[in-house]
Amino acid sequence: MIKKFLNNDKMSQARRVEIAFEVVRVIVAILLAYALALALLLIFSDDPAGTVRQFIIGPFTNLRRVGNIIEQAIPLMFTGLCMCFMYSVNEFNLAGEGAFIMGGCITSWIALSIPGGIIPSFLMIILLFLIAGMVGVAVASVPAVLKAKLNVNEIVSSLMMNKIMYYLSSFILFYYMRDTTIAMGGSWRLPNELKLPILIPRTNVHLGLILALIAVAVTVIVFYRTPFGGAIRIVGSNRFFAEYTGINVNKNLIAAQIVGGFLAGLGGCIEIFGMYTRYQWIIAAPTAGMDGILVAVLARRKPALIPVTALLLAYIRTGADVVNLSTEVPAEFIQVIQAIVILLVAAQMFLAKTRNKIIYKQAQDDLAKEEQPA
Amino acid sequence: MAIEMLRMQNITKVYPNGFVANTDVSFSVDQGEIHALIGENGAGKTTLMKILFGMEDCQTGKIFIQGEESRFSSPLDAIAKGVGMVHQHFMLVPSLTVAENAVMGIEPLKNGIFDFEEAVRMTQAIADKYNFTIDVRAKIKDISVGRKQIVEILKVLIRGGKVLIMDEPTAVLTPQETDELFEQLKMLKEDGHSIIFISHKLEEVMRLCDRVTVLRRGKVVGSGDVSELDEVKLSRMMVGRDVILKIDKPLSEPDNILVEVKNLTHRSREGVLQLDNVTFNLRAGEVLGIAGVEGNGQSELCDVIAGISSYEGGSVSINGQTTMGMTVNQIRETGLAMIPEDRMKTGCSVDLSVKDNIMANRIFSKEFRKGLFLNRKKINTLVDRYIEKFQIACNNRNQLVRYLSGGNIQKVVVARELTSGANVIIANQPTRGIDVNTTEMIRKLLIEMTRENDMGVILVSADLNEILEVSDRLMVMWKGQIVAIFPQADEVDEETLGEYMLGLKRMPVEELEALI
Repeated sequence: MIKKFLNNDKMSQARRVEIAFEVVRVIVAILLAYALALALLLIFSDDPAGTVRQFIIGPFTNLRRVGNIIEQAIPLMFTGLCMCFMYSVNEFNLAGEGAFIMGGCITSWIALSIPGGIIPSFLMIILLFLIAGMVGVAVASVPAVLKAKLNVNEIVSSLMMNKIMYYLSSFILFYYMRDTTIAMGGSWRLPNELKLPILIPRTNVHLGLILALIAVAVTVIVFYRTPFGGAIRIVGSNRFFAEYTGINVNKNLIAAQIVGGFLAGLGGCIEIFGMYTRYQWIIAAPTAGMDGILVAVLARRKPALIPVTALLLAYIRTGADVVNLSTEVPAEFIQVIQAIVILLVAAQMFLAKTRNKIIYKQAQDDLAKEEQPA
Repeated sequence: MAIEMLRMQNITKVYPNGFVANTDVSFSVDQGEIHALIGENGAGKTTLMKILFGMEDCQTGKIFIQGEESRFSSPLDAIAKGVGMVHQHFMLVPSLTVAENAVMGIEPLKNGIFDFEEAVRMTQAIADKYNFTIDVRAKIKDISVGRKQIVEILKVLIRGGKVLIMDEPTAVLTPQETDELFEQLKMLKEDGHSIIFISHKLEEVMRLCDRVTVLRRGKVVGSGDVSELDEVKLSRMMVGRDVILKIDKPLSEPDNILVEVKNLTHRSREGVLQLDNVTFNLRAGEVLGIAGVEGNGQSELCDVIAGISSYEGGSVSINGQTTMGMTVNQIRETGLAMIPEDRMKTGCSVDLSVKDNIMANRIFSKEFRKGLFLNRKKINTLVDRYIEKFQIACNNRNQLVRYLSGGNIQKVVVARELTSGANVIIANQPTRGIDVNTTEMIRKLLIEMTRENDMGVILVSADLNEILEVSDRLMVMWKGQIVAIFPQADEVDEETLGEYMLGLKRMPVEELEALI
């Protein structure tokens, strides 16, 4: 198959080698990371091979664990798509995290505030999705507008925005919806009829999976099939060029970040109503927002690859959980291994020398071929 | 028998993107020789010199300096062996003096502190030795382009350089400055220095050089003594066929006014006056050339008309609509298209496909929409048609622009701008640094547009040959002002033009007003 691919006449030789190499590179990176993990485990574990096996195969050993992978991947897809939009215009707006938390928090509060039965639950959940999205828009647009109008560094302002959102959400939880009858810090029980339906019995895989996949499809269509997508790709790839061809740079910059914020906010709401019975993100808030960066970088900023990389990250996380529960290896160590895997996959220049050598050889062969008939 | 100074043998270089820049190239330079390295752009001249100067690696091949094999992994190695390079774009610090720039990296010290007087003495000594007239205490930002080039040469000489690589040194010079440079290069040659002269101006090669090596598509296709060759032979070697250096163009019949610029004034962000009371008209059916030494306001004029920069005084109107306060897009909709000066920075996006680049200026147009979505079928047909019409050499419409050669990238830009439906085209350096064939094609297209489609073209170019060949009318800009207008560009000779370009002469205001 690879051979056939390499002989495809429609692509340039160099491009073909680059793509084929990318696939090989990711696989080699993962294998290398696991080998490294095994070597480290030889020092720290009594049963290194067993631990690695748990890490790799563990997530697939029963339905519940497979379910865990998918459940974890759902919020990652939303925040990954959010970062795809941020990256598409080359802005490192990290407000997806704040948007995600606020999306979950505000919609929980509204769901608890409106007595059941006034609005049909089907309509209510759609309404909540929209509100969550708008909350996300509000959060993400602050750094976006500040950057466009006042040239405030979006990394700083979005990180500060996230901090504000952490504490604002805690404030809302503690002062407006806390269930005082339970010991843990959580809200009252969310209305049962608003809970997203479970898709696969005996797991927690919920309707959010389908919504996430729809979001991916819509993003791909927006990116490659609409004028707006074309404009943000031009703005993102070369701002000066966009300006010279008459594309409104600031407008598209802000618009792309707003759409990103909408997706992150929506993701927060879906996570709450899919996975939780109460709103309970306090200081130990979910990290889905920041993990979205990883997912988007691993996907090379291509929205179509987001489900793959979200599942990959969720799989690694689930593997870590399995090892944590079934062996004596400390959880922190598993985090280290995770990091090595991600680092090697994300490293763009990894094996670049070998790739260049192959391209050079290909070019030489081409030249030889070209010269023979002459 | 001449002593061989330098030899490059069987050099092959492949860039990481698969582009083969040099294939088995060999060439040598003798002591006291000016050796021309010529070829179309993308022929591999600059790459070969970058290898010699240690800026690029090569896969195979050897370099010998005075018979001794040398391997340069950085420009420092090359400089240590007496090889120096004068880059196309000057590498000087504008806020420092000539002397400070010349000794940069080898600063003389006194008690551990930079000794400015010694630097002045060292620089002056070298300047005197080779008869360069230059004020070594002047700041770089205050001296002319021609002087800056002298400083670059001084930098090489002060380090004991014996081989000078000059990468298209005359591209930015006026005819007079070019003459001066040639005198100085000849003097260096007589002193035993070797000079590698990169150019694609045949006339200069004939005037200055002893031997010539011609590169085409990364290979040596010919070499020999200049005395045994002529321009026609050389150009045949370069492009493999006879290039028509003259363009036959039908007579221009200027019609109604398309662009009216009145008393236009513009300052840079730093407050420097860049456009000073500029007034002119562009009519349908003519190519209006703007000549001038680079940096005299030509690019600013283009940017202001296109709405990239704002203006503080005067007015611009395109097809009867005044553009004050309009966005770039609104101005484009009045009927303007622009081929920008820097194709890599503002002319295209190298990380997008040929299709995306061609569609960039019409992506929001209703014509290419089907409901909410882009009409892919229509777009694909259109893009394929343009690829064929403008002979863009690419694998298909989805190929990223960064895999194309410079000339083909420019064809993408030209295809996009000339088909946008505009009737006013600003072409700022449309053929800079691209191969002869594409150059010829773009020039012909510009002329054709005005004759057949009744469009107007404003052409800015540093290439005098281009300005004189393509323009119908010709204006000269100097220090942000229009100092001359010639109603018949083909009746102007280069010497006269040079005098206006350097500000030695200017037409009286009344005469200019009559020619607007």
